[in-house]
Amino acid sequence: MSAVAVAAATTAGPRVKRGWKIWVGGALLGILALFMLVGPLISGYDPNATDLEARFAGPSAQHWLGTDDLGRDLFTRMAVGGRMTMLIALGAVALASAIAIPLGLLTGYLGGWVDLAVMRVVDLFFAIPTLLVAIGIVGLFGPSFSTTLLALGLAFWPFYARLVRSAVVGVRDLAYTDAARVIGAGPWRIIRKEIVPALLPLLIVQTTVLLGFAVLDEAGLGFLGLGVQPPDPSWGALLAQSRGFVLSHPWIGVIAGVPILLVVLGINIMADVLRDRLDPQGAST
Amino acid sequence: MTGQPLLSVRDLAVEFGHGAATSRPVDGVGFEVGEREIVGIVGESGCGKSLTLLALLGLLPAGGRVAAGSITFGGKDLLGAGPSVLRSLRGRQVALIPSDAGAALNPVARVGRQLRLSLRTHQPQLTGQQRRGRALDALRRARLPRPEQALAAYPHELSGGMQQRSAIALGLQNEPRLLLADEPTTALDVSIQAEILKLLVHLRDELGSAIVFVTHDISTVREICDRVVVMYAGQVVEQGGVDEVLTSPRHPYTAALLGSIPPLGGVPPEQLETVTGMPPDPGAWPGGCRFQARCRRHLSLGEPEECTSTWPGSADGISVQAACHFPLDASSLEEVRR
Amino acid sequence: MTEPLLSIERVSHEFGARRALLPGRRTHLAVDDVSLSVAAGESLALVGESGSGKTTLGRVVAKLLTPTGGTVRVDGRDVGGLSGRELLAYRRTVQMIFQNTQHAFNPRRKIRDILADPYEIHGLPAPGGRDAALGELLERVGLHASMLDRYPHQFSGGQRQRIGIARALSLGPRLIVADEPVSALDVSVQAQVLNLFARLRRELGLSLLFISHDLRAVYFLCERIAVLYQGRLVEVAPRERLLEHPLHPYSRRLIAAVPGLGERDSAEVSAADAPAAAPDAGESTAAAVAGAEPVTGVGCHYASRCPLHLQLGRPERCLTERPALRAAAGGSAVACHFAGDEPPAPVRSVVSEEVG
Repeated sequence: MSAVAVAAATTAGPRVKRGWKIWVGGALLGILALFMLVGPLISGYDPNATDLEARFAGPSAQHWLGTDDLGRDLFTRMAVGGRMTMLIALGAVALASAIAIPLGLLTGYLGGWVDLAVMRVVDLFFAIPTLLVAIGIVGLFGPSFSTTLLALGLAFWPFYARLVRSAVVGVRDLAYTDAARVIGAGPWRIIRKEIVPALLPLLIVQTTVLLGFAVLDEAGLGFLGLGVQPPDPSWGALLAQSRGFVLSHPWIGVIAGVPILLVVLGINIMADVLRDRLDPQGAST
Repeated sequence: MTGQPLLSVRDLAVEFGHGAATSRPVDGVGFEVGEREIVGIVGESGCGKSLTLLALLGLLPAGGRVAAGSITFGGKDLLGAGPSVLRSLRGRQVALIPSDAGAALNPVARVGRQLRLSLRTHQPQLTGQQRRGRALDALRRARLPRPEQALAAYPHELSGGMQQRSAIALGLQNEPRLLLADEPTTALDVSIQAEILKLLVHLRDELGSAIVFVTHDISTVREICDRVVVMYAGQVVEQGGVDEVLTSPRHPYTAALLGSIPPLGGVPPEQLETVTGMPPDPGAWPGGCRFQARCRRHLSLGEPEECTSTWPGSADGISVQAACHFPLDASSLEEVRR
Repeated sequence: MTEPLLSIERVSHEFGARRALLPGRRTHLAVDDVSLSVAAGESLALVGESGSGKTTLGRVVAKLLTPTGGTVRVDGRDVGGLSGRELLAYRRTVQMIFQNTQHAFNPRRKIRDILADPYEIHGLPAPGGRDAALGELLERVGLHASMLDRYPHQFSGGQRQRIGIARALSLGPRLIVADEPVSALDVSVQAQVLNLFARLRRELGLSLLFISHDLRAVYFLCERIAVLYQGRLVEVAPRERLLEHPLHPYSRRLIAAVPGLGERDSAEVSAADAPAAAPDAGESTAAAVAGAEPVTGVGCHYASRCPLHLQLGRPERCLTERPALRAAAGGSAVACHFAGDEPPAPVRSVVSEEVG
């Protein structure tokens, strides 16, 4: 025991190496956010304005990323579509968290039949692929911005709820929650003071990871034509649109795909950084 | 002790870290273990007793290194020996009995398989039939009830005491000359503890193995050991025959350790004897005697200067019984005990 | 006789009982019909090995578990149905200290916040300000007020146990349930914490329910000792009585196993009494492997391992009738059909055989 403690004390230190991740992840997300926020302003185009004269124009001084089949400026559409995609992703994650975190806390803390019932519902969701759940919901309500958000949120919560629940179970059985009960703390206070703080790192990291998935799944739904509907752009919708010209004008697909890749990469790097930062071992030294 | 000791450790030092961050949790430890002898190493957490044991096996945790000293086993220098020599000694001539057998046994292999695997590694000349026989023998020696069934059992199917017996069987089946037992009974219930201790004495009698028994509990030492080595702050502060050391300790730390054991029987004292304060940090050993800051005798003698200026032990850590400038005698022992 | 502070009346606790209807669930009777009492200012020890039910019983008294049978009374009042304000009042009367000092504190909270919890929850007034009260609390257990702003991991095990005691004391309890509070500590630190308990008992007149497997610690701190075996109370007696005249064969075994007492003579340990593991539920393989006699509800749990049972020629009664707790001389009570009936076995003169 003493040996391990000594070893840990002497090997702690190579923390400097993690530094690059923050810079790369931060730069990626920063540039993309800037692109989405101010892109349409500096390009000066309306994302939905067609210009049949300039169909399928390649990248040029007028159209930095070229135009699509209706001559719409792709740079502008990508930026505006990015806003849409991010809004959907953030909304979906917020929705999923709003369902999953309270439910996970409740089932994990109470156990018993509540736990049993909710977890069987979760199992049911687990038996169906996430995207299929989303497709079902879109099928029910018809494709639109809000249904995409709803569909992804509802598709994500079961996974998240189970994660929260198992983390709660791990903390619930530690002696310090017993100690809190013995001094008279009620369930609400125990959840607030003892359990949530222990869960916080996990919640932050998982929310970030989920955000990456949401961006990808929005693209997936859009690609299937079940996301945001034309003429409104979103990354998924643009990807779907590019499918028609993948042989004649492959660069449109590339332009639609690369930002998705970069955002997800950026988000995952940041999730990594957060995980390292919030690790209790690292925090305690 | 007559003749060549089986194991001889001199001035052993273990270091971690580099430069200003260097710590020496083991610092000048020396002791000897004769053939068929049971030697207890006693001390509290952080005193370096477990690291000393691991250093003997060449199994220091990552970042740790032997910085000084010598370890001689059966006339061979272990520190100079290469990894292949050490490997051939470990398990064959020197075996470790872990403190947590449940964690030390492979959970997904039957006990019999683990025993046979170790035999195959160390005694490749044995046939499969012989290996099975040997494994069964080892379990019998470890006094497992129904050894045949234990052979076919997974570790989790055994109780804590039986897991410990299986781990002991694993250690003894190659008939090692030296068994190193690291707190082999701390994880067990009291009555099973007593059985395991008895078992160790038996094994010494049957196999003739010497045993080094590391423990934080000085009262178990009396049960089985011939000699005892008391460690404090990385050093040996006292060593000698068990009866001598436990009945008339010469080092104030040993006396304090013994005094802190609650007496069983009679009218309990109002307060137990305690050592105030905490042991020093291995990164910053104080000069002189390391126990001085907590030493009641140092205080009662008017804080003599030697205690803070010079280390009272010997250079090799072995030549003196008690590393104290003012060792206790019969009358001063009484005084310490009030 | 005055009313005891705590009385445990025929308490049983069965784990998994509520889920017994689900297929594949096994229930486990951890505490089996135990009755005990603790007088005000008295200190009672629960001793036994793992699986004896001592911790479960302690958790029942601390109201961390609701027993599946029996009644716990404090000041004569059934505490089973307490809730709300009454439960809080109970918490102020009965407190608990835990074994594992590493997990007994939320690692993310400072000692100040941890110790302030009881004051907040119970709305206790802190004369002279809360900071002063918290500082005083730490001083009382031998720590310094300056340590309030540290995190639990910045303390040693012994110091953390002192903080655990401080947390329990903050509510001014009359009874403290201490679950193996010193067994994870080094010997000299153990002595410090035991001394602290002894001092607090003297100063505050606390009652203790002290759970331990360490007879030495128990003997130092507790006037009476209750021995549990596989969920059942097998003997309860004043400490000197239990040590010098243990009646139940299991109590004798426990006392004989205390290290540092036996004459250490390897010749005496003959091959005949080679220490084989006893084939009972405490030290056996899974039933499939061992084929051990299953422990059933009828009869005495200890019979399969009991030297007295063997010595008397395996009387049928031990296997068919559960021994009831009966009063014996010297304030002892024992649950054995035959204890005391055989010529008094020579119990080792433990008093003279002291370490050091």
